[in-house]
Amino acid sequence: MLYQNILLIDDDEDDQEIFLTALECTGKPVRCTVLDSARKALSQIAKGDFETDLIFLDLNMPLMNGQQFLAEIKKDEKLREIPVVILSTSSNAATVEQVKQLGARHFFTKPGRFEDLVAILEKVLV
Amino acid sequence: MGALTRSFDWSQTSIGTPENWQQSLRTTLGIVLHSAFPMFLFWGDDLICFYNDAFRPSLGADGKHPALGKKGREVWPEIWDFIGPLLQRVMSSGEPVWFEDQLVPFFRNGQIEDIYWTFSYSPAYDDRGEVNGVFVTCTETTKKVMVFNQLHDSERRFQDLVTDATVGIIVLIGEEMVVEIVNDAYGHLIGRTREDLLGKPLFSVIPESEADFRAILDGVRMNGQPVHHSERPYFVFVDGERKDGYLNLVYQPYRGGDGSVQGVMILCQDVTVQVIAKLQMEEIVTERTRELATANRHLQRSNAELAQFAYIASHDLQEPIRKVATFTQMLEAELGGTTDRQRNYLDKIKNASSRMLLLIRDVLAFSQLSRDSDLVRKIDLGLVLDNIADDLELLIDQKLATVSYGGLPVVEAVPLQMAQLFGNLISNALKFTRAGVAPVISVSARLLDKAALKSYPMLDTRCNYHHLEVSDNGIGFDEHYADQIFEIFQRLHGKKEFEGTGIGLAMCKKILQNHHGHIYATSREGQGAVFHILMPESQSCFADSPTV
Repeated sequence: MLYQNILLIDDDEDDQEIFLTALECTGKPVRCTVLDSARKALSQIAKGDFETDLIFLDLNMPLMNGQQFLAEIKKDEKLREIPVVILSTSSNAATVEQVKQLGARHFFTKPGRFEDLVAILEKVLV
Repeated sequence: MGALTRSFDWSQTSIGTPENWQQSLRTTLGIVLHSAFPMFLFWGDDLICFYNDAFRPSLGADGKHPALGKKGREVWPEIWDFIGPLLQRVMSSGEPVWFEDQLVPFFRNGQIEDIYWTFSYSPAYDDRGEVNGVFVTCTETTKKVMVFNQLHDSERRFQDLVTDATVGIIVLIGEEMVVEIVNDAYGHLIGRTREDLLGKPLFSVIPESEADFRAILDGVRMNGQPVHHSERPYFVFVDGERKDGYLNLVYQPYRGGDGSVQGVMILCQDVTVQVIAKLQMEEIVTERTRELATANRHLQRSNAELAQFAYIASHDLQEPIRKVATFTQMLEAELGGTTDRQRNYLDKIKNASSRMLLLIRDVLAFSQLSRDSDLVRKIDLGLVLDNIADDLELLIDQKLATVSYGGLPVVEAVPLQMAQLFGNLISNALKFTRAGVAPVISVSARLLDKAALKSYPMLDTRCNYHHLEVSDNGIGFDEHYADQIFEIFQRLHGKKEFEGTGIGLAMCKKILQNHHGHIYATSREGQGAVFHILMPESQSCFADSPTV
């Protein structure tokens, strides 16, 4: 399927900018909503403020971290089908295992090379 | 003896033949010969000997018998000094003499024997009423005396035993607990002499002990059952000063001749020095254990803090440097055309930042090497190598390398760490290659036999180990550095020659430490290297040492 509405949840403004630039570089025709808080994202999705068919999720965030967000949406009948891709600074094997268990579709460590991020997005947004 | 007396040839004696004997002699002799009690008669100036059948055994089987008709002095030369004067005294004074259990050793049964007698010497009168002989009634008491002496010796030995014993002994009689027997050792324990104690109720001498000991003593006396106490504290006042100590005690019922319990015998040993030493030792051990526990807690806390610090530091350090790298690339793209100098600076920023990122990620991986035994699984090292060969396929193809392995064991280990261990070693083998030489890398394994095991003092001889070898034909290294290469951040080559952070082999070493194993390397410069891994078959072998 072709993703049209994607959501990025990341509290880091620099990473938001890098993500949006890389997304632009892929040339894919997607609309991207950016939120800096998982808690905010959860309430807005639940209320249906916007449509989303793919979520990119950071893990290390205040108030509600990525794992908690993941667990919450997997509890919701309507939301649990939305694929979630983890994009985190962490590369810890235990963390990878944990989010896979929670139902994440993919896990990527935020790459050090810009081209690598572009490649990741191209791969995910086929 | 009557027949013998009649048939004896008396004509050769000073008293003549029997038909000439005085009536008094005949009468006395009649009494002697007809008596069942041992009797003897000395008669006349020569003290001629007569005796009866009852006396006969006292002369022994081989000795004086027959002494009939002989002179006293001839029959008893060996004791004449003793009995001669006695006989003379009776003869001259007419006064009888009496002895009880008197030692009179004389010759019989072929030797001089110690013989005890109870006997009386009485005057024997002739027809004129004059004393003309000595009438002897006697009984041998040797056996009785012997038994008495043995009893006496035994009693004395018992007394000596009690007196000389190093343990305190005291015997208390009756409800009053009157001291009947006590030795110096006991007296010493309570700072009293035997004279202070003997014949007195014990608690009149040491009233301060009554509360602690009377009930026990009453119990033993009434129940007749012994009681033992170890390391029991006691105290007494000696000249007004309190003396404290510890005793091992045995309370034994003390029985009389009829078997009834008359009192209590106490045996006590002073163990004050030992108990105090033990208490001090226990106190020291407790104190040391407490110190050790505290130190251990501190150590665990600082280890945890250190691990946490390494994790946070590495994790948070990644963020800015990743952004530096990424924004540099974005800047480069944004700039479009750049001068050579601009490009050179941008390359330097990119290289430095990606190297920094690599370094931080390796430090992070190192700090995260878990020692959690929950992660231990049975794992086939052959499968671990399969995965590594897959991951490194591109590099292996690029380098035209041959990687071979087989016969690898199944071990108990943390799977991720085994992947990291062999991943690092194979990556190194693919990295440190000789120019123009296709890399040949092999991994083999064998069981470490018991004899070989002894040459590795860091291993536990009770456990089974596999000896794995990862060998290559690369540049090798000077064995002088064989230990150094396993230290963190130690590198033998410039960064331009071979990239790397100097953490890979340190991780390998830590992984082997986590698994109670060992790693070392052998090599000749320019001739390849062999990394030796001594890996325990099972981690349960180390159940008592909480490493992994």
